[in-house]
Amino acid sequence: MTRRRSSIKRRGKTGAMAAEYVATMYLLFIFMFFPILNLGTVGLNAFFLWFATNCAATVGAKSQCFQQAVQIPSGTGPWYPGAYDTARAKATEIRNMFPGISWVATATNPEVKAIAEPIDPAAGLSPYQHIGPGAWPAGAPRPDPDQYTLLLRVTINGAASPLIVVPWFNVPGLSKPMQLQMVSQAQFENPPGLLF
Amino acid sequence: MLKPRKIRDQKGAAVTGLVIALMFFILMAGLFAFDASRVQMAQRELTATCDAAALAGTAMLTSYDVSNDTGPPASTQPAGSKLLDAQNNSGAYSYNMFLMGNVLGKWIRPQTSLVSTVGQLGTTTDGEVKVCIGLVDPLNGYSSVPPVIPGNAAGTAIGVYAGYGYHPAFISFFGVGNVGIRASSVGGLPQVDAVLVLDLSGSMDDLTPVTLVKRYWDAHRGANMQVSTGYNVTPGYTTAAYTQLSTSGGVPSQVVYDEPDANRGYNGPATDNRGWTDERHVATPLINTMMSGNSASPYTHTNPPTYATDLTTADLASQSTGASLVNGTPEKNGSPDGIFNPDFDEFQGHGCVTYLETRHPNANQSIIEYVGLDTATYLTGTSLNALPPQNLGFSEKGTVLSGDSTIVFKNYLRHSPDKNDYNSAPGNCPLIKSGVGSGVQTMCGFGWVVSGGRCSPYKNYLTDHLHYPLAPASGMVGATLKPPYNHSVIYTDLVVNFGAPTNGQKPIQPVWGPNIFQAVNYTFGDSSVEDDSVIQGNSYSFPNIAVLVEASRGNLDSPGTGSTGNFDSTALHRGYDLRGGEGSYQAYYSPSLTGMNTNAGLVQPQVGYQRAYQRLAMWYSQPIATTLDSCDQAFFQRLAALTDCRFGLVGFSDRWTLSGNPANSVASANTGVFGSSANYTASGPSANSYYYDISFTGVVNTTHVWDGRIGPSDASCSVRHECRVDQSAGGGTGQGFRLPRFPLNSSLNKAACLRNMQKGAPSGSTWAWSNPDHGDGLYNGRPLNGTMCSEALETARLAFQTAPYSIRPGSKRAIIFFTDGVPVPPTEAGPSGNTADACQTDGIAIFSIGLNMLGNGDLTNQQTAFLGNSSGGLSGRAKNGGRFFMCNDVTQVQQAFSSIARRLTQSQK
Repeated sequence: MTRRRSSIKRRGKTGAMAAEYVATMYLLFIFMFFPILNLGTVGLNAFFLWFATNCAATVGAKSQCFQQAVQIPSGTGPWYPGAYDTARAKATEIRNMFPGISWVATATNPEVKAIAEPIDPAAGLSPYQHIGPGAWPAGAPRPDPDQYTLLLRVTINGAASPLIVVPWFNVPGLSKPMQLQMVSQAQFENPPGLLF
Repeated sequence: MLKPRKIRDQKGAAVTGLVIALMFFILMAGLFAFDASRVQMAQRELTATCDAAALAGTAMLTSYDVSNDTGPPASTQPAGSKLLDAQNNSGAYSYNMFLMGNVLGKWIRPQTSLVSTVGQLGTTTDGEVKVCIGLVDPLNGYSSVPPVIPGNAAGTAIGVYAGYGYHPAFISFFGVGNVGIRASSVGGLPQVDAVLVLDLSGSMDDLTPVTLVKRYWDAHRGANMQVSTGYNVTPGYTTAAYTQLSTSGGVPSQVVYDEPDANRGYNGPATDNRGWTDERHVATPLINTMMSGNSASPYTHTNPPTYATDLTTADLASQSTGASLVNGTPEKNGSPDGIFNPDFDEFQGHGCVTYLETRHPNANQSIIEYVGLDTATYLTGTSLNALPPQNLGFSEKGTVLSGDSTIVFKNYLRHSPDKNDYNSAPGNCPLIKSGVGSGVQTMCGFGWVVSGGRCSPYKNYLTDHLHYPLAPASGMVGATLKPPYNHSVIYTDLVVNFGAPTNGQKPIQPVWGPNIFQAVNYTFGDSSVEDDSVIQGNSYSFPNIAVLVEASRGNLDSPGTGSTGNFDSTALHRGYDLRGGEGSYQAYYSPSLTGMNTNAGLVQPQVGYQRAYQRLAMWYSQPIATTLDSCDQAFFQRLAALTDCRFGLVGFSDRWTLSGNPANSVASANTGVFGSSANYTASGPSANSYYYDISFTGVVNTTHVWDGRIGPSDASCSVRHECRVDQSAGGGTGQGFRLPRFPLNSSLNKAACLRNMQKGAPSGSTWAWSNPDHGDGLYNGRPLNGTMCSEALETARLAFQTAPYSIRPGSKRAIIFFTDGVPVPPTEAGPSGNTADACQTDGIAIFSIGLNMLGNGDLTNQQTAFLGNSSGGLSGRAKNGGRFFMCNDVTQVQQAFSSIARRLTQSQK
């Protein structure tokens, strides 16, 4: 009894905290710190992914055309690509700045879309969307700013990676990249250019 | 009892620490996320503020006057100074716009300071905003441009660069200090393709102050005329009696207009120093010789007359003087010994050209006020014009005046009803002389001695000028058979009361001439100011209305030094007489004799006199003068300075609605939408009609006359007053009036487009406003006739589809449609609206400007309906961002063009 009692006293006084802290810290880092760190990183990368989308939409909307490159001034000036290429290039530029974001680049990812939304609901006009690449179809409604709100929308289906990828867990956003769809849009500044 | 609890407390300590650590960690993460979010928010807001400032600043560049910024003598300021002012003001505007922004919920104005270099933006303290605003060159990689003349010309966009010092809200507790945030934005270089559709209808000069003048031969006597024995000035034939006769509707057929007056009329010998005479005994045999064998024509006398035989007893019947004809000569009481001496016609051997001001309104002496146009009914004004084609026969059309008050054009006081009549005396001038050999020379003024045997139905040089036009064949609108009465409402010439600009400079519009013409002496500027090489640097004097009349006719022009030019056959070598209006109408010019003799006097023939008159008259023709300068300076020059633009121009044609004419289409454009490829030259048929050759030195086509009367020999028309310049018929040198048009041409650069607009050609030669064979520029246009707009609008639309234009994908495409009226005829409205619908499909905006300077309510309503933003207006139907601007004065026209320019230039890189 006496031996047992003294043994208990020794552990309690000198090793309990240390022993518990190891476990605690283990728990803290494994189940709290790193997951939260990963989640935070995913959140930050998600923001970067949105940022790429937003910048792509903003810059693309300032383009002169949707698809075609134009030379400004005509004949002598530099060539400026259309909104489709401009937006995608901007998104790629930002992606390359942040290794935590990625997407599989295809012709429609990032998706660059021109949207014509009727201003007057009573006008009987239908919304129209044109997804690049390609020029505005001939039979489509004319991009008339008096009739439509004309937007350039960029959508990226990408992934925001955590700081530490844990291969034996399969929890998106926690242990592996989280698939996200980011959307941003801006008013297209040169409506006649949407036709080209 | 205490031990177990102690053991449990010790075991729970780690959990407590864990919770605390976790809380701390989460707090840290949360605070970091909070501050990171605010940094991003601040960055986005700062960027948005920069965007707004750059956009506003660049757009404002087009709001300032940068026209004619070439320095002296065109401007009193150094070259580039206007642009520098505009850049500085736009920079200030941009700065103000920036100050309106906010970051993180706080207005940035109190914390903002302006810095001069981008490098200074990196040193912001907490909450501080620094902004650097400068000029950038869109053509050179948006590099910085110093605001210094002359390098500032490249600075066509505004760049805004900003820095903001973010002070972290929480993580600063952990040693994270100021976070610098940067943002920037620059204005872009928009591409604009625009076609101006310009109203060149007759109403575009309706507000021009003018004077209407009756130019006629007055046989009054000079003081030293020889009076034979027995001659007596009959009481009752004084000026007062004349007035009484006139106003009572009598026929003052043998009026002695005035008492002998040393200050009036011709005082020389019966046969003057150039051999001209109107003495009956000399003239009769000459005329009989000349008229024998003349073929019949609408104006041919079958009975070759003498001066006297054309007088009838009826002309004298109403007189109580007992006058009668004896052998064709007026005699007193039928006796050669009566008051009228058979050997001496008291009027013969004397007389000179006289200028009588037509009665005029008491206040505003504009064209429409002068003729009393019913502006409530005739919303589109009058086709009576300040400059050729003057359409003088339209003065009666639409007038509210009636009876004796109606202003009437006396075409038979001119040389011929359907020919130009420079170098000719008034139509009732009887001067004649023996020519070389057996020939006979005439002044071509008496109307029945023109080559070919045309004879005027007027016969009496004493009284013909008192009659209204009698010939039904005159074809003039409103020319009706009326009894002769007060001749003060008859006129033959319309001249512009221009003012006196500063020598060497063009007046800054709008300028208005005086209601009462004052003497003007003006020296034209050099080639940098004046495009017409004939009058560049030359001085011209216009001392009175008579000189205006002769200058406008071209009678004061001399083709070379020492030559009298067109002056010779005008009878002006006998001096001339100026007279004010009759009755209660005030005389506006001095009745004193003013020498216009080639040998002595105030005015000498001079090269370019007519062009000088026309140039000055153009500057004071309103509203067209202001409209043209507004187009040029407030729109085209601004766009050319600040955008990558291409221009086209379509003047209103005189063509009726498209219906019934060849279809207008891309495949088969309406014949000569812009003329042939030679539309910059006079060679070959061109769709452009040509301005009548005011140089009048090589006129061979006599079917077009300088005042716009087109003779019946014009194959395209059968009714004279409806003849008009029809571009489908093609034009040619010296025919019709030039119709300024040039196509949208994407192969030209903007400088060439601007030059085309201003100088009539994209490069090389300058085709001045006065060039009859060349020139498709803005200033080559003249007010013509109706407001026939549909063809012009359709032509402008097609300009975006046809060579030499190939579409520029990034360009904003617009038609600027300017008019001061509404469609005439009304059937023009339908096709115009259809064209606007097509523009909507084509992506072409129509910016329409309606000018209504009289504030006519009906015109306002009709213009708003036709041009407006509603579903029925041109701008509303074309959509694509086009807008309608209603203007009530010429200043608003300038503002409208500025607004359109600003709308078209808003762009960001």
